Amino acid sequence: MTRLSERRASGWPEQETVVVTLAGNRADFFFFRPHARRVCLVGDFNAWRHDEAPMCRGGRWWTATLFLPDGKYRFRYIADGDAFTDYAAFGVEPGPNGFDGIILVDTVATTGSDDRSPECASCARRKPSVRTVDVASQPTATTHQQRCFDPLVLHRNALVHRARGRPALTHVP
Amino acid sequence: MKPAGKITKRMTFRWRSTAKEKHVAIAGDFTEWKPVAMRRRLDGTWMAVFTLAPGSYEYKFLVGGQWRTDPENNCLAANPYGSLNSVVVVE
Repeated sequence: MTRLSERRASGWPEQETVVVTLAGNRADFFFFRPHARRVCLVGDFNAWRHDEAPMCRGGRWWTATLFLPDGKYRFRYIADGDAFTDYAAFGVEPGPNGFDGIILVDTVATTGSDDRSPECASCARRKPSVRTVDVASQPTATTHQQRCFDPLVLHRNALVHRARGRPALTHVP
Repeated sequence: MKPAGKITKRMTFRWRSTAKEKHVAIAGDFTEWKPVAMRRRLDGTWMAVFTLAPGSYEYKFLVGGQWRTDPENNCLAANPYGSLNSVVVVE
């Protein structure tokens, strides 16, 4: 793995200019576009209407948080009127104007029941999941620790936070 | 020391716009989705202040008869009508 500074110098690879992280029914969208003046999200969830889901600038990244019920959603980013597809999300599907990014929200599969930890900031902001699962039938290990310490998610978070000039996420369960 | 559940925060909601709206209202969980008129300030922003207990709340602006999300809030939640509500989290 190359260092972040080297990657920046060689131009950012396409897959790291768009990042989506999912925790329960909370989806965080990160979009790297330092020179854009206005970025918003369009998709099934807002009937592809522009300006309903604005993204806010955090350094060079644009961010947005959506709480979505379980399901599959198509989405795109709109930066200054141009549409961009997230090819690194949960896959792409052909739409009327090229490919749309896909996001799959499945609260039960990713989190099980309501297992939010009070120490974890990302869990505390999450709303309780609507669907509940029999806690006794869940294996004890696949709870908060596994989800929040998913290496890919942690790696993505670290990248995003380093890019913003903040320390990487660290918390003790 | 007060118990944690009793701590409330004054949250200010703003609608900034260059257009000359005649009437802007806000509705949300905390108003039981009844529109509450916002006050227009001299600089053209519309403001409403609510005292909220910790938790997350959904809200939307009613501008000229149309429901609009907060253009300065990037935290949103899907609603059953196929559109989005803005979300504010009080900690």
